[in-house]
Amino acid sequence: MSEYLAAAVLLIGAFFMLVAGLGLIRLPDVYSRMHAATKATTFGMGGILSAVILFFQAAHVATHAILAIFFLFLTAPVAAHLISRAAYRKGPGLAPVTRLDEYGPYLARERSTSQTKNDINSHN
Amino acid sequence: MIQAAVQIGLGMLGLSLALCFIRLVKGPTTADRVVAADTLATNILGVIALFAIQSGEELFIIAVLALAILSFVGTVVYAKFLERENIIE
Repeated sequence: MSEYLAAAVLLIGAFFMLVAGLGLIRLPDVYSRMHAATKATTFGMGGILSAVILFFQAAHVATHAILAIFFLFLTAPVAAHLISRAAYRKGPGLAPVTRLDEYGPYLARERSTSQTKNDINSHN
Repeated sequence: MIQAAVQIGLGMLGLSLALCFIRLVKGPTTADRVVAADTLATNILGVIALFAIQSGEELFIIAVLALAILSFVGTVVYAKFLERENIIE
């Protein structure tokens, strides 16, 4: 019984990994690609490692697998946020279909204030 | 039953790895390539986990955990390099 459940969860996880790969190819700019890759791979690894837990049914394997799931759920958003921030600061490169760009005005304001601060410092 | 599911899952992951490689080669910007490399690392984690089920060897799960940590560190360092173009300050 648990073997069938493990097979089903494994196939769901692998399917989401495939969706991540497809999104990486099909989507128009780096931010939407990251959105596809990060969320789908996190969910897919959750499925595959749940299948590992259901297949082995041993405490030490479950501990390692749950630690791996926890770590992936913790680090994937952080890594994606760091890359998207760096990519935007190097030059937005947004797709033409983008409707809303909330970070652009904020970044312009931040840059202008830091510019005036530098001016004050240079005068002093 | 589970072995057949593992075979199908390995096929799906192989296809996903191929798509990631295409983006890694094509990627117009460096950020695209970093995202593709990150997804590639996560896909390899999936392959290792499936191989652990296929061979019945539990120790590969520890390799999954260690490789997840390493890929996170690599991605963070690459993000820092993209932003500052200077890792060691």
